Amino acid sequence: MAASDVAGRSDATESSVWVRATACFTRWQGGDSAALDDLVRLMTPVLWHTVRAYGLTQAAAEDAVQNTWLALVRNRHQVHEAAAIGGWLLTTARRTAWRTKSTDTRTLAVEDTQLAANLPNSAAAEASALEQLASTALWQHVQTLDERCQRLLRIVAFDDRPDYAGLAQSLGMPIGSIGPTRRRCLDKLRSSLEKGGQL
Amino acid sequence: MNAEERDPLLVAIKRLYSELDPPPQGLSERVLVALAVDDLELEYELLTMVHRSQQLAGVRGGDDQKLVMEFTAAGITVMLRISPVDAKHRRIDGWVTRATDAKDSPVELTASLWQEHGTATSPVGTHGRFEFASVPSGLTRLDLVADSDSAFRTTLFEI
Repeated sequence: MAASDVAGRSDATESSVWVRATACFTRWQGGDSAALDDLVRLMTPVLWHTVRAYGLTQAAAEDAVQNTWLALVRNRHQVHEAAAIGGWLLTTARRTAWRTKSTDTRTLAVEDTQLAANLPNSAAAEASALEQLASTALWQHVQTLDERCQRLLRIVAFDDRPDYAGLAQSLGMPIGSIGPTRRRCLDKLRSSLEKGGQL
Repeated sequence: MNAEERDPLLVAIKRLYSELDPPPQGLSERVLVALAVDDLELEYELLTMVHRSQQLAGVRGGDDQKLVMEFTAAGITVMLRISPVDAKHRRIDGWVTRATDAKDSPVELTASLWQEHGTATSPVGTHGRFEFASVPSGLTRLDLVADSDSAFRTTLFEI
């Protein structure tokens, strides 16, 4: 499989999520109540992946996402600059997820087998067979990483400007080790893919 | 970091999880409902769901499924056991546990259940118990309101 199948596609909308979030928040601050709906629809998937990365069950993850939005509506004055809205939401979601996780020891890690069951019919009709093959291959290699790596990579995949201090606290890691760990995890995944002939 | 500098592997991981574990259908809409029915004048603390599980109570399965949920906030824990009354109604048994310092000066709490078609209330007994014998199934939110100005609120959950 060629490199482009696994990791070569560009993600044009990547940076614009944060820009659009800032624009929505600015409009909302200006009194446009529909802008909050847009912000919710834009950022809810990002929040979902962030809290799921901490291993919350579906029900607890949904609760954490709802709580994050309720907290925003009640504490919007805490967001001093519109550009900080994305970071504020993710930090709040991470804090909630971490609190839930540390309170309930029964919460299981995201059910791997259950997730794998989503693969064959994922992305429905638009996904080409090749894309599905690429995802299946990547998933197999991601699963060989330790839990900390899997968690960190999922978080940074959805948050291109992570707040390292908050991340360090919620992952129980020293702040200085986030960057090196992230690189180490990516290197590990890359070499696993290379060995498997996927890159 | 802008899009150009982003590791393509991270982009692939993002796509992978988007396919593998997408948000549940209607999550954004439920968030919007939760925001719409959140009366901002009431000051409360958010209760966080820390546990939700199905318990099989009997051998018949299906209708006998009990749902157990646990919520917490600083100094308070709420357990809910939800059992089916019939296909469209649920019984809710609740237990509130407060931190020891709050126990010394007990405050009366009222449990209030918000649902799409109305609200129901039940006093919380001296041992922290409360119940709703039969309420419609569907989106639900629990408020615990004290006489004083302290109140606790869950997010919306399906029963």
